[in-house]
Parts: sequence; C-alpha cells; structure tokens
Amino acid sequence: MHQGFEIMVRQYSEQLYWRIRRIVLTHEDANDILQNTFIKAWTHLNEFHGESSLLTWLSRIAINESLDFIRREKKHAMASTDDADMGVANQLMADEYFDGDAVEAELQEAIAQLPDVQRTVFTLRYYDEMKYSEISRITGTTEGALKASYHIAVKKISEFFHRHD
Amino acid sequence: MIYSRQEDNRYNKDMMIEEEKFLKEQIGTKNPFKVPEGYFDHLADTLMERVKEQPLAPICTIEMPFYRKTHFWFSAAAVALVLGVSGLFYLNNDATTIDESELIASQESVSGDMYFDEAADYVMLDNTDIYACLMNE
Repeated sequence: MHQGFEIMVRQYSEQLYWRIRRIVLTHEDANDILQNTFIKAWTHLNEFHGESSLLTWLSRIAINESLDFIRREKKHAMASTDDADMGVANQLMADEYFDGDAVEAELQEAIAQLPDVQRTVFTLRYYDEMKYSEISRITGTTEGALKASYHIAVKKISEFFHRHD
Repeated sequence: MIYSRQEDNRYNKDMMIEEEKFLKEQIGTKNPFKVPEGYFDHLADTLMERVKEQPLAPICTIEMPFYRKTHFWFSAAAVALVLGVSGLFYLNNDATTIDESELIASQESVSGDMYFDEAADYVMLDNTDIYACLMNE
C-alpha cells in the first residue's frame, strides 16, 4: 500500500507544489500545505473511488488546504499588524525564494487581493493554461461561473496596474 | 444604439482578450518563484516519511456488482439447460440422428463461450478496479 502511494507522491508532488505556491506565495507555507495535502490524501484514501483522476482529486485537496490557510492568515492579519503594512509586493521582494522583478511582485499583490474563486481560477488559467473543464472538476464550480470569475479577475488586475501606472 | 445579447457577449470577450493580452505582454507568465536547491530531489522521500507516521487508511474494498457475482452461475445453468434439452430431444427422437462429432463441436463451442465470458470479466476492469489495485499494492 505504501508503495502504490509513493508512486503517486513521486508523480504528482512537484506539480501540486506549484499549484499551492501560486496561491500561498511563500515556500515555507507551500511546503507545509503540500505535506498536509498528502497526509489528508493518505488518511482519506478510502474516499477516492476513481470518479476523477488522481491528480484532480489531489489538486482539490491541495487547493482547499491552500484556501483554508489563506482564510486563517487573513483572520490572523486582522488581529495583528506585523506584516500587514508591508504589502505583499514588498514582502515578496524581500523573500529569498522570490525570483521576480517589481512588476511580477505587483502582479502577485493584485492576485492576492482577489476573492478565493477568482484567485484560484486566475492562477490555474494564467500560469498553467488549464482548461475550464478541468478547473471545474477540481473546484466543483460550473464552467460558466469560472469563465465569469476569470474575466472579472483579469479586469481587476488590469485596473490594478492602470491605477499603479 | 441597441446592442443584441450576442453582440454584448462578443464585446465582453474581445475586451477580456485585450486585457489578458495586456497582462501577458506587460508582465508575462514566467514563474517568479524558486525553491531551495535540491528541494524536489528529496521531496518525495520527505513526504513519504511524514505519511508513514500516520495511521493506515482503511483498506478500500470494491464491492463486486451483483450481475458479476452471479454471472458464472447463470451461464452454467443456461449451458446445463441447453445440454439437458438437447439430450432429451436426442433420446426421444430415434428418427433423428445427430452426428457425434457435431455434438462435441457444439459442446466445445459452449465451453469456449464460457471461457470467453470469464476472461472478458477479468479484462473489463474499470477505472475503480485499476485504482483499487494501485492502492492495494
């Protein structure tokens, strides 16, 4: 049983890491969430019945874990003002595992301001060029709603950049 | 000016393509993140160490559908019935003679069909069966 699971871990861990990282932004958080994702998959293996692919099932767990993490962080940020004033872009520019320039950091800040569904569909579509049908299987949201969310996300991010020009 | 719903949708789609194009040209889609050196080389091992600390997930058992459980016995009963009726017909009808080689050929064909059905049952594994095999390795 461990052997079968290990094959799955080796095959999908890197792909899942990047999906998580684009939502939570820092390496430490992405690493923790990836571990939680596989532990959850292991302890809930009996709930996988093969209706979707393994990667879709794992992506669903990973994205839910990432969004839960972000919600917890938001609550925590409202309670304390430690990093809140610094802004996402500035935090990223100070992060040793961020390799982008100031404009790319601004894009991450704009993405971070989006609501959950828009944020998820934007990262999966913009960076992974994932089809709406696949995003729909992962998120359980209809393709029509996802297209609308992506459209709104693109519009908000464009406006963010026009404002900062 | 009155726009039709179709024109409105096309306008929205064109606007989105323009805005998306603006983002992709201005910022690009390059991954701006990086990981510590060698992180992915040891990732699977680290993850498996964490997973092995967890209690085993309950073994998933796949319930075989009723028709597959009973398929063999229904087939066997049907073959026995056909053979029985044929035998009775042969014994009660002296005027009709059946060539022995034909009877053997028909029996072989029936048992061949049975074998084929059983083999097909094994071959027709669906996704669930495949994933169950993977998980129970």
